[in-house]
Amino acid sequence: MIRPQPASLAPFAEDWVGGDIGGLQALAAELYGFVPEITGITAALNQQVDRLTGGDEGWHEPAASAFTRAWRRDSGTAEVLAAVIGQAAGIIGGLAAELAVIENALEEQAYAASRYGVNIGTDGRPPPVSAGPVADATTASKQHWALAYRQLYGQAMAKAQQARQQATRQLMDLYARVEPGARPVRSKGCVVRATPRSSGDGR
Amino acid sequence: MTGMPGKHGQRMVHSRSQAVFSDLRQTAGMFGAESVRFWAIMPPHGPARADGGSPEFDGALAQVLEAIGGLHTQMAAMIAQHGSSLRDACAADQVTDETAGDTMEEITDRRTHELRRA
Repeated sequence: MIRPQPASLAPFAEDWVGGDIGGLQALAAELYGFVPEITGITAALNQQVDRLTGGDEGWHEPAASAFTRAWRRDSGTAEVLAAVIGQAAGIIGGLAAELAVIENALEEQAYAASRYGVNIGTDGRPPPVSAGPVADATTASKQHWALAYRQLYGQAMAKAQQARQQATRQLMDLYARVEPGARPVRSKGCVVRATPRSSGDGR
Repeated sequence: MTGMPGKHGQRMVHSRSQAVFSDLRQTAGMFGAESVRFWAIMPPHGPARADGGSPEFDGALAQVLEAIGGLHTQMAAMIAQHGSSLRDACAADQVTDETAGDTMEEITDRRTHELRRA
């Protein structure tokens, strides 16, 4: 069985676009790791129940069919849970990958700009640029690169924000399917509904 | 092996019941063990969060992870519950079978006694 993994990240060294990109990817990997564990357990139990209730010598009392029905329903719910976890991992890993691409592009542009004398802040913010006439070619080049970096920085931040908003919407859609008190979600005939939990658990 | 030994150390449970009892017990044990494994897959409140860089994303992420943690806990409890119901079914069947076995032994003993007297 191929274990799903989040996409590898574009290289980056700083933390300018915001968010813990590595942490998001690690969370996605952790969530992906739960999927085969859940499906492995339910598959093993399904097999055992088939063995228990199958064949002429199997368990065939009325209690057996009631048990099998109840187990099949819950086994299906576990499969839906695994699918939801996989989808959450995809959303979180996707955001991590997108932020890494943006961060990588920003850092590369910052490096290029710094070679032309543009002073980039430790947080990646572009320096103030005067748009007025310049005296020499070196200053003109520096001004050009500073303006270019300023423009790219603004675009990068907007893209990062857009990526977060999209991921937020996707997570909210996912949550709407599993939230406590939500309309039952049916997938392969199963219902997923979380039990309301008390708040203030310190996390 | 199921059923209480009779007066002559015999067990009156026929082989088909023994096989079912054995499978029921094995399956109940497996459900119990797998519920523990399932429980251990992730922390009860879901995995630890990661900072996404915006309060909106972090809020949505926290809700989803909390719901996943809740469903996971419920599933672990459900698996354990199925194990318990199998153990109950096993115990109920065993009582029925033992009663039937004891009755058979009594009939056999009585018949043997009558034959000896005759």
